[in-house]
Amino acid sequence: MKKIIAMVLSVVMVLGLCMTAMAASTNLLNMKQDLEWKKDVSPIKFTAFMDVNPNEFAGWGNDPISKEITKRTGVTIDVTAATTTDHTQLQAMIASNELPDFVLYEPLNSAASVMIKQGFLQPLNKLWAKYAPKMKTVLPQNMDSFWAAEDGNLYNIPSYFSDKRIDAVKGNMLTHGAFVINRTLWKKIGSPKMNTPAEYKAALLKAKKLLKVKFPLFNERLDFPRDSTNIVNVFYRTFGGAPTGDKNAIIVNKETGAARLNFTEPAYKKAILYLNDLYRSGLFNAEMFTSQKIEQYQQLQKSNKIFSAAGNAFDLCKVDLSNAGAYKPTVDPVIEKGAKFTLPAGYGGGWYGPGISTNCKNSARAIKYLEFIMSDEGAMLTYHGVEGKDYTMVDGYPKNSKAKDEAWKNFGKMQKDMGILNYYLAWGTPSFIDALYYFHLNKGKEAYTLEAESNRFAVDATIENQTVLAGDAREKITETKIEDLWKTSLPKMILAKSKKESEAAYNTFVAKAKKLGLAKLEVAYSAVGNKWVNKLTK
Amino acid sequence: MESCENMKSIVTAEVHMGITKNKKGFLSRLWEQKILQLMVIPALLWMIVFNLIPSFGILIAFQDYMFKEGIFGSPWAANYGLQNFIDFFADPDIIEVIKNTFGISLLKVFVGFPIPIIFAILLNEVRIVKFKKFVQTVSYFPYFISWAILALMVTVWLSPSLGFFNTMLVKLHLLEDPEYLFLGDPAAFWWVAFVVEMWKTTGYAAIIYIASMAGIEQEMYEAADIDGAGRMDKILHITLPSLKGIILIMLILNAGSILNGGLNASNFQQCYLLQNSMNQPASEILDTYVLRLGIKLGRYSYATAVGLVTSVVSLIFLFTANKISAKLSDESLL
Repeated sequence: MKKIIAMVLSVVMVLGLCMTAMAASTNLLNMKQDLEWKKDVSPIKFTAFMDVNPNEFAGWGNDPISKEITKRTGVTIDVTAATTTDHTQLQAMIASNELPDFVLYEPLNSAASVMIKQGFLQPLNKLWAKYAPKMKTVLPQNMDSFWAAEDGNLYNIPSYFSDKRIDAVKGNMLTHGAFVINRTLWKKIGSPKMNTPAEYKAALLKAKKLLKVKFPLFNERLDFPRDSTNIVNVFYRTFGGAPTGDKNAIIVNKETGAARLNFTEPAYKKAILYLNDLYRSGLFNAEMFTSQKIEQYQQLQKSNKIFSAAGNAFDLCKVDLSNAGAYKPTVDPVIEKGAKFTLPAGYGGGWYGPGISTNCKNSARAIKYLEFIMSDEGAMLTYHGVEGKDYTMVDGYPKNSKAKDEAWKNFGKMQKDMGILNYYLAWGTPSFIDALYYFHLNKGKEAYTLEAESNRFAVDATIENQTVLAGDAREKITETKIEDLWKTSLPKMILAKSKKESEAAYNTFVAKAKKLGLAKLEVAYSAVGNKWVNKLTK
Repeated sequence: MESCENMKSIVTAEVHMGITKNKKGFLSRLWEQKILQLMVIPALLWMIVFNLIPSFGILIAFQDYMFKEGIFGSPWAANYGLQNFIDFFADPDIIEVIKNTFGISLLKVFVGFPIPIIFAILLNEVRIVKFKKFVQTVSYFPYFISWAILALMVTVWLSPSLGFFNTMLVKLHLLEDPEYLFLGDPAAFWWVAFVVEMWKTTGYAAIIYIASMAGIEQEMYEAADIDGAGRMDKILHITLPSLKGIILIMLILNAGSILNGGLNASNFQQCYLLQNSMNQPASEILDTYVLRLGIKLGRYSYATAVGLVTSVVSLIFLFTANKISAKLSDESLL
């Protein structure tokens, strides 16, 4: 009798454990999501244009993931991507009224307001109200209010990278917009300290001498003076410059929204003079100003080992492909004594995402496809791959297969061959993925529940990144002229023959910018900043 | 008297016949040329559909164009529709832009114009046929390289670290600084654009002159030989006068496209592809200016207005060149 009871109890326990395990794994993929896209999976083809030049995008249709998407939803997409970064292709499509079914664009780019105000896009909130009423459950709960246009409608589901809570958990220095070094070469020259600009310069000189490299310092973003990865902006932060937007070099007062460009700050001038010093010491290659394409940088760097770079390790890997794994952030941040180092306002509330054009031949299916992509199932598929093949769930978090781990070493190849993250940044960063990542980092600290997740994560942004002029703003002309002046003044400032000449060039640049209307431009920025102060503090 | 009367009636009859002949002449001539006219009709239709009808879009220059409203629904620009033109002429950058445009174009159109002619004449003087053919073939290969690829090639060739040009010039004692950046010096940009254009187009442009020279009667050269004329004399007194017609026509056509850099219209491609932050003060031309401040900002009305100004200036150049040509010789296109 006792034996029978013991056996029954054991079976019950085992069954109970199995059910718990199953429940744990299925909780993450919410099978309860009874979404509209499942009701119609007949074959349909859409066209899409990505208004971004993603080196990483490997096309749609030849990889396992896009084939799986077609299998589950019936949707195939003919995607073309922009070949330039200046939105001219999108502008031409607008002008000729040839927008495809989906348009993937940044909500703050210059063409966005034109498309919305002139009726080229459909309000997504109205579409989902009509065709996919449960779509809001898969979106961050404040997506429609945060990104609503002036008329109160949502026209785009921008991706959002991260959340300040995730960044706080990460705690490490970001590689984006900071210094990167080749750790192998750094160790080769004796692992010199590089905690201050003076030490950094000394390390570069040592690298130049011992490694016999002509130019140990590399930077490719010289034609983008507003980009946080531009070497001047990296050094600007080294000298204690206030945080700016990721791509706009704007400093914003978080209380009032008052905004200004960073080049009038003392830290910016110090950065210019420091770079001029590096140039005069033979550490900075003037030719970087005349090179524009990645192939040219690759050629330039073929015989010149890159010891250090300012910017993004990921971009750098594309230049020096043979050494992709060697580049890491500097051991400690390089900061001027007494200065407080800041990172660029990294996490953004709005990178590019899909909108549905008025030319779309089947708006109902289009919105349902977006519902799929943003759902747990769609998110897991596009971000992690096929369960059982590309990953398995372990303790509620996807564990990569060996093939996927190996493929991660070559991101572009992974996108092309496996289709994973091939739509990354293309279709939004679903709240689910952020939640997964957050709880993975916080394992053990909080119990993960799916129901709570969609309310936890809301779209958020840094005010610096949001302070962007609308595309049809009159001040855009002034902004373009000042940007051009900035771009053409950089080589004059950095490549000056003496410190005095560099300083004079800087003063001339600032004076000319003021003459072009810098004050009026900053008033316009402040008006935008003020609008976001109210939105972000709510 | 009678003979006068007869003469009068004959003349009257002839005049009458002439008038009748002319009246009938056009239609009957048209009918006689019906096959030729049929051949021209497609080209005429093409011109009407793609040149004449779209010119209606010039109205955009005078409007605040809205894509969705279209030409008929968009409001007129301020200042009686002239605001876009006012904005253009009021822009302080425009002086430099126009200076660059004319500078590069004048170099190509006038300084570069004789080069294919000289090349064609020199080639014509080569007696070894195989060598002549070889040179001719090799000379027009660069024409078929696209500007996008050529720009990359030029950037590499002129690179102090990757290219051969600096090393070569230093060895020839024509350059002191081996690190000199040709593409980084605004003072050098126009000449770089000019030399690259000449390298690319000379061979191809020479074809038309070579073809013209093939039509010159050989008896004239033989007669010159008998008269004891040397090579230079034959070139100056036979070849060049025979080419006068085609030279003037080509000059007129190039003058009409002067703002684009001549018939090859290469200004935009060169300046757009070779432009960087160091040479921009010399490489910013009207086309790149319109792209930057017009099209990229969605200001299509402004871009159209600038385009209209450019077209008007080109037309003035065309008519002026045509008139000068007609005055200096009997050759004119219009």
